[in-house]
Amino acid sequence: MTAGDATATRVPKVGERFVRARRWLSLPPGVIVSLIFLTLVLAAVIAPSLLTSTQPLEADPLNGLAAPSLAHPFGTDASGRDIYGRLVYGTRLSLSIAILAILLALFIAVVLGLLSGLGGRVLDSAVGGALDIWFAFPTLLLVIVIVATLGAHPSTMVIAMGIGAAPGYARLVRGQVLSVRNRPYVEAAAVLGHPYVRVVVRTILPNALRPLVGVATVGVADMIVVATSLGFLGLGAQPPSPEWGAMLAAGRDYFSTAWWVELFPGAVIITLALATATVGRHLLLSSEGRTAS
Amino acid sequence: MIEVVTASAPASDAPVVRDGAVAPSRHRRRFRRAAQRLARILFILWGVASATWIASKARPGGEAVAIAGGPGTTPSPEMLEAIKKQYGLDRPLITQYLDYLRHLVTGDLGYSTSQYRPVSTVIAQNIGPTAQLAGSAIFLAWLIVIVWTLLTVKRRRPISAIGSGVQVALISLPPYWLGMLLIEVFVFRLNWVPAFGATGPRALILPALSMALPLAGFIGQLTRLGFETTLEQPFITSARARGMTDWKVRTRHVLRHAILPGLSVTGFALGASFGGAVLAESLFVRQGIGTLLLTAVARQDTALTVGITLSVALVYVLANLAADGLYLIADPRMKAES
Repeated sequence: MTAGDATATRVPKVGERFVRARRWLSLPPGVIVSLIFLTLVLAAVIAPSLLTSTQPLEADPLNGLAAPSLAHPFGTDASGRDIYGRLVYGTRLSLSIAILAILLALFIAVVLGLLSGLGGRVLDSAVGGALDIWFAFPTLLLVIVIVATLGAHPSTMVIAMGIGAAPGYARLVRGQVLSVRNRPYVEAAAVLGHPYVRVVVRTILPNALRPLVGVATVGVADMIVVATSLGFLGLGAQPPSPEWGAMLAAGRDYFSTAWWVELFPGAVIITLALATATVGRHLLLSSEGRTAS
Repeated sequence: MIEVVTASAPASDAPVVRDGAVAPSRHRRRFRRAAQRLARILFILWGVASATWIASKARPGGEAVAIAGGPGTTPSPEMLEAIKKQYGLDRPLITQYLDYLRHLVTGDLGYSTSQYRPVSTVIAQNIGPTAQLAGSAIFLAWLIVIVWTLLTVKRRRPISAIGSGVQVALISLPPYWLGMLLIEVFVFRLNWVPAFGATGPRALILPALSMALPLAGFIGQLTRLGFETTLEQPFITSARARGMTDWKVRTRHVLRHAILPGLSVTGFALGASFGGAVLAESLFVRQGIGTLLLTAVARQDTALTVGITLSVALVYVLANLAADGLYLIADPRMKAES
């Protein structure tokens, strides 16, 4: 990285592209592979028909539980639906549940973290106390109870998972705000006469949130696992839907006769979780100025 | 610094007096710290109880409908009236709340509308298996972490890379999927362990392992980081200079420091395992708090749901207390400083 930067200072314009290419190449191979996989996932979200010619609900009862073949690379499920096609079509639902849940958690966390970090002692201890209580509910248990109370539906899953994951991020944001708010550049912004709200929104918040980008990316992986856990327990998206957790739950009874029914959805979930976690860890480490060992 | 660090026994009652003036007030300080801790625990328990109470009141359809059978049913107004009277739901909210807290203090969690027994009895019968499961999962996870860390951190490049890669992979493993894989391999293919529904220690291995492996990834990452930073400390160099072998340096000096970050999240992990046990219990068809919770939420049994939530929160608080205690034993410096 440093060598590349040096080139950039010596030959500013011509070297620019070269530096950028070097930077891509200097990414750890794991991160590159993960990014490629995530690009495929993104394609499945935007245009699933590009990756498969089958329809997720298209059943073929005579061809149920067919082993992987050229026509059905991941085999078929009990109703003869192509598992690969269902996985591709399920990506949008599974991934958007996870991402929306993380965004909700971050939103709650930022509000609480700002209140606590900038609101003075009384607010800080009030938020701190609330977080202490919040933490005493294990995430999965909280999510199960909320989803069961509000009814199993993708939207309630997002709400439940967002609430369940929020306290951890809130503590992080609070710590960040506390460490950022007394930095010289914040003081400088205040001295320059910027209004308080502007200092908070433009100076404190972006700097406090920087390490959170990586943490939240790793969090998406957690949320995917939680969401599919709910599906597995029958509390998530309901069976005909190609949501990954629901697919795993539906395949539970066929596992010992048709391993592909469980193995491939599970493998996709793990790969996606691993890929997001790898990229997230890389973002986290580079925001801290370290590189992965 | 080195003195404190290498002291092998957790400082017994021998006071770590740095200067004489501090000694007299030590007892009072210790007492005050204990009182503060107790107050915090009571506050958390009160908060958990109140939050669950508010949630049970605010649920859609109202509590009376839930008791009558949930949103799907259409009980007659007379029936709802009768239920409200029987369960005391017609009284002012503040009276209900105070009554609820008073009952909690005496250990009365109400009556389960799905099990037809007092909630405290139902929970008492089911918490044992879950405690066994969560406890063995934590134990197994630490065992894996310690062995894995000692063997793979800061070794030759491929070994370290594989060691750290495996840990990242473990964290992302969905526990239920791992469980299914374990069942397929060890129950159906190899026949090493009994199938579902069995009891006894042999039936505990697979469910505990399915929970322990992701946990080992989580704790392992913290331990690995601690291990790496500790290996670079000056006292390690001095230990090596005294002629200590690498293995002894790792086991005697480095490990003790490296487990600290993991130890401080173990209380949290135990609480989470009580919540996460629901997956393993459901998959391995085990009796326990988790499967009980699934029944409770499916049957709209508010009292039982609240009861389980409260007991898990209590476990979380107590586990954190225990983890803090263990931390003090592993790191006597904390005792001297605070």
